[in-house]
Amino acid sequence: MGLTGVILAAAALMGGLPEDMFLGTSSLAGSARSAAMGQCSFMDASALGALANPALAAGSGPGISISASGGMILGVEKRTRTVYDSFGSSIGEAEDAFNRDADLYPGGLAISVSGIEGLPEGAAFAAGWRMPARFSYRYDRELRTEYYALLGEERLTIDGSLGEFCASAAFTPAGMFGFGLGAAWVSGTRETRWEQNWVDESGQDVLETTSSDLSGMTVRGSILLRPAPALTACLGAEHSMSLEWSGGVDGVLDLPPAVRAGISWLPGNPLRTLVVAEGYYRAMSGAEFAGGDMGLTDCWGASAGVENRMPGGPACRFGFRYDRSPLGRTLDSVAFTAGLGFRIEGWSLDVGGSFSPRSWEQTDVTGLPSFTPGDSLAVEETSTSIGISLARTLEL
Amino acid sequence: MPSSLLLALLAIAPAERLDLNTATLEQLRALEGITDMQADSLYSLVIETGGLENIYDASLAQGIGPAELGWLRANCRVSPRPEPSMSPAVLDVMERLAVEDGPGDAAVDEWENLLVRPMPVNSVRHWDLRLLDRVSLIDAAAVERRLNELGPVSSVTSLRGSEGLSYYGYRNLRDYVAVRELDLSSMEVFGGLRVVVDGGGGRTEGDGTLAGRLDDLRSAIVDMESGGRDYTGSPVDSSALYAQLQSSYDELASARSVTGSVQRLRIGVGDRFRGGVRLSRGRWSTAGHDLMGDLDPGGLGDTYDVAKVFGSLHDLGPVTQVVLGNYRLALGQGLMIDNTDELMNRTLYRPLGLHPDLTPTRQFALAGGACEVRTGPVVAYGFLSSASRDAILNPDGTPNMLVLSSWRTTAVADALTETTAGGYGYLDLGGILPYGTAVGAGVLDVSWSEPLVPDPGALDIPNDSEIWICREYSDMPEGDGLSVFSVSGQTVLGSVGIEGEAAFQDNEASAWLASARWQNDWFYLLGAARRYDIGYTNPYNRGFAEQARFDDTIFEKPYYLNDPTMADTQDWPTPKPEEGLYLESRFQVSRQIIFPRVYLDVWRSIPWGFENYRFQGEVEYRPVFPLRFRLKYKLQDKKKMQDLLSTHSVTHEVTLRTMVLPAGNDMFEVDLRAGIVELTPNPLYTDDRLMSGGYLGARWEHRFTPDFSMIGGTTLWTTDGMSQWEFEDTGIDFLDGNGTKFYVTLKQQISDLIQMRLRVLRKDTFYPRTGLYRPDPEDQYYAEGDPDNPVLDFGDHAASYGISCQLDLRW
Repeated sequence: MGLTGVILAAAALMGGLPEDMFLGTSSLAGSARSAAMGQCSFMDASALGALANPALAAGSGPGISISASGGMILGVEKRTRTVYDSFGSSIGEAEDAFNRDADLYPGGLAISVSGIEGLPEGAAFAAGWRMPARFSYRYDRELRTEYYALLGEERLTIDGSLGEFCASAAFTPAGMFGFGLGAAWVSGTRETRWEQNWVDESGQDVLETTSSDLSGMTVRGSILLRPAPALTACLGAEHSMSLEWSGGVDGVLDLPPAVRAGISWLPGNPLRTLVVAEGYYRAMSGAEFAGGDMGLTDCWGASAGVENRMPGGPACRFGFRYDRSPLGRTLDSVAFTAGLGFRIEGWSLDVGGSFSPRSWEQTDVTGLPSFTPGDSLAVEETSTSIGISLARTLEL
Repeated sequence: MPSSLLLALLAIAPAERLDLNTATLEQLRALEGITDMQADSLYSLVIETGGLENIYDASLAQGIGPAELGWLRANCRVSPRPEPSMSPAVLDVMERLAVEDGPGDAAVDEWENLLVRPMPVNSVRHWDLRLLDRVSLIDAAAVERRLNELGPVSSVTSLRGSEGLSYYGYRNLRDYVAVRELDLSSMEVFGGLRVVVDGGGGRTEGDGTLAGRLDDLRSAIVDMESGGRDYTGSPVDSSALYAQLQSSYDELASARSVTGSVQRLRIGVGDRFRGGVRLSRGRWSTAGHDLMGDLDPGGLGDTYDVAKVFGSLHDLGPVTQVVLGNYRLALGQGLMIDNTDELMNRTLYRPLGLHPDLTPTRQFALAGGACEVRTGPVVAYGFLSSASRDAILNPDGTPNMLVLSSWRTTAVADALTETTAGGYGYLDLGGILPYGTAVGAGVLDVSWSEPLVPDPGALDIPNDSEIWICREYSDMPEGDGLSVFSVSGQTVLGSVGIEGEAAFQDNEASAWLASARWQNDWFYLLGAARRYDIGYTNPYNRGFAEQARFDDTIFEKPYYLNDPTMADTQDWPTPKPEEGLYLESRFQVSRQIIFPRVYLDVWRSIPWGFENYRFQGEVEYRPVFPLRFRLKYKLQDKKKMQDLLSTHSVTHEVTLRTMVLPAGNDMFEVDLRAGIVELTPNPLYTDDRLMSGGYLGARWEHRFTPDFSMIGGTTLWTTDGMSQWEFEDTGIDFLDGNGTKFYVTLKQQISDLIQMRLRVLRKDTFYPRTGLYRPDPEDQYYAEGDPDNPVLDFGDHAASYGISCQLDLRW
């Protein structure tokens, strides 16, 4: 196996982009309502939210609640090299590659039951499927000589997704306190394809592919506190028992537990404002693959969102999110989110979107594998997502 | 039935009805006239809205129809909603203050505290009111005179008719004073927490940015690698310099994309105690460099680059204030001391006095203790500080000069320790002479742990074509300290206020400034004369100025300096040695026509003897209330030294602003600006005689409700050598090349205690390129790290984004 083969073997696990290194890029696994409110999915009081935060299983009741979501993510990436004049002063940028990737994906489908006859007092259940992450990346560039003659093409594609079947149960013995437990069966695939095709037939074309299957279990637990009618707080933990990779690369990915906390608050005003805020922490420095340290650092994130019910109009939402990357400060990201919510004949139709720009130097990210040896380009990327979700609660 | 019994029954009867605003869910479910589901819905409505305004609001709850409403009307009641703990007017002022967080706004914290616990108006003196924004000496003295001559007021509005108090001054002080007594025994706790995540303002390109500084460094590194510099006979060790450049480059490169953050906590207890903490890191900032020294817990120094803390006690007998920790001191005309790190051009305003300091200022932060004492007619200040300072180092390791770095590197960070001490005393002659009259004198002593040794040999690239002439640098302080003695005076004669300060440094250099202001409700005329000797190098001088000390000097040219990061010196915030006369006026001709600000500054640069002037006039026409046109014209005639010859520039700039107030408290603004600069032709750049630039900007603020609003703005610009500066809602943006940008800001008063601001911006800049085809191999463009690979094509488009969020919690 040549150098590119070695790199690609690493990339089979880690991909070409930081987020595709282990569990893929986060997708809209909660409702579009939470997506619009800073992507506060832990405090998402919907059937889908109950899959991530079991204690909220009764949040969308009483009755039977169903919720489904899906969306699209548009990723735009520009890779540039700075161009210098003979004095060493930069005069602009040479564009090395411009990649665009639009993906439609399902977010999830869930049902929750609470407060109906036959259920024990204070009990609630939720079950469903959701897609917490996806692998999707397209990189394409033309290789040219210094005189701009076409030499060949280079292309990398990464496809796949990670889905989980989840079940949650919650119990609220008193109005001010509740707790919940959940479990998820995680499965998915990840496929990579890297190729180089040369115009000169004497050149050796390259085609490397990998295909991996992923499977594992995740357990979740959370508690809910309601110290006042207008205030709800949740604290939870999530532990991936193990995530096994087989196929292209074999090994077990051990991720440390994640701790989450959040609040939702009704300040009480004519706009019937709802404020949610949450944060998480994961000691990623302990992450291992096949028994080896992955060289990551601890990471955390915080987000906040606001919902206003405009008089005579839709619910108007906006939010903000900050994520500290486990790979380096240069990959920290901020996101602006916004959305609208409508109620139509008992149905809740929500639309939410986010925008997150990021720029980083490939050389600033320690340990990031490159699919082009010596590639040290500046990367500017934007991720724009839009999601839609539909929910209904049947009060029995 | 006796009427008293009837009244008693009437009073009791409503109380027996269930109050929907305070009822529990169980109580609502127990009502006979509505179902459990309707009760749930009603309960949610009450919680979500903070309470019903009247019984009819109950119909907004899902499932409550006319029948249920009728039943509720007959059997329930609605109590008034609790009043907000802060008035909407105060919240409006706080919202405005929330966008101001710079060294120039060091008193913002103090103003916020005063909004919560205003000054007791009947005991204020003019010294107190000079802290407030846009309150002149004449206004402050008028209030003191009113209180002394006519006695206490029963309401703040009673001040309105005070002789000499302008309406403008009254409007700017009324929110910060109240009729109340100091309550030193009060233990009422109040304060605020501000959290900011700064994902940038979309300002990543061009000079003065981190990208620009990295480019300068890289250019210097390439220059050294290619043998473009000859250090023969220079004290500079070229290999050590090369290593320093590489190290600085790596350090600054690691700061790319770093997200900024601010956590600022303020707390107050009654009228006695104030305290606060600030931890922050600027956007694209390098790490903290030994922040807090040996006490750096948990890697704080790696996370924050500014850490400040203070505690202050008030009204301890004659000691009106004691501050321990970080503080800001601004006295007189700012010639002796005003420790911001920003020089505010063409303004005489400064928040006077002693204040705790939680601003981002680091290089001029005073850390230690300070106090204010008032006894009889004496107002005195004493201060002592010990804090680290950044400095450019000479090759032998001695500090060359102090520097205020935009992006600090370890090459300059914490190079020495500065001990600052001094005192100032005023004798208030109000009552004997007109109120507002006082004379003062004080001293400042600054000493450094290591002597400064200014040496141009450490800065200047040796043996190059450029000849080092920088008179502003030649007189920079040397040795291990300096001291300054200052005298000042002020008085108010009718509607005229006169102020002045003269300061004398121990090297026999001096600075003085005198100003007079004549004002009434419709008009003011301000005149100021100043002179700052070239040897007056007091680092805390923030006197009125047209230019900073190193404007138009070699420090604006990083490619002429051994280490381009030394160009940070151009931000040194002391005035340029200059003398000049400044006249400013505001005049309201009628309700329709106002001259908001007209000024003329004529000044002479002392190092070079160049004479310059700048005129700016604004006229506003308001044909009907919701429509205003403002026309501004600027004319500047300036000379600067360029290589061995001076150049002359004449700038004309015209701005037309249209402001419309449509219905619903919306605001719409359009700005159109065009400018042109005429330059002396330079023999080296003969094609650059004329530069021009301009922009068209529009801004719209829509208030969905009094608590929730959105601001959207867009700007289109084109420049041909004349870059533009534009005021946005939260800062100033630099516009270069051609381009467009748009931004959206969402503002919400979530409750009377919480505000949130969220901002997103996109900016696209296009740089016109010429001379792409370069057949000479020596002159071709090439890619980074690959000089043998010429680039034939490259982009001219830069897109940058900014997302930031600010959350303010108050209690």
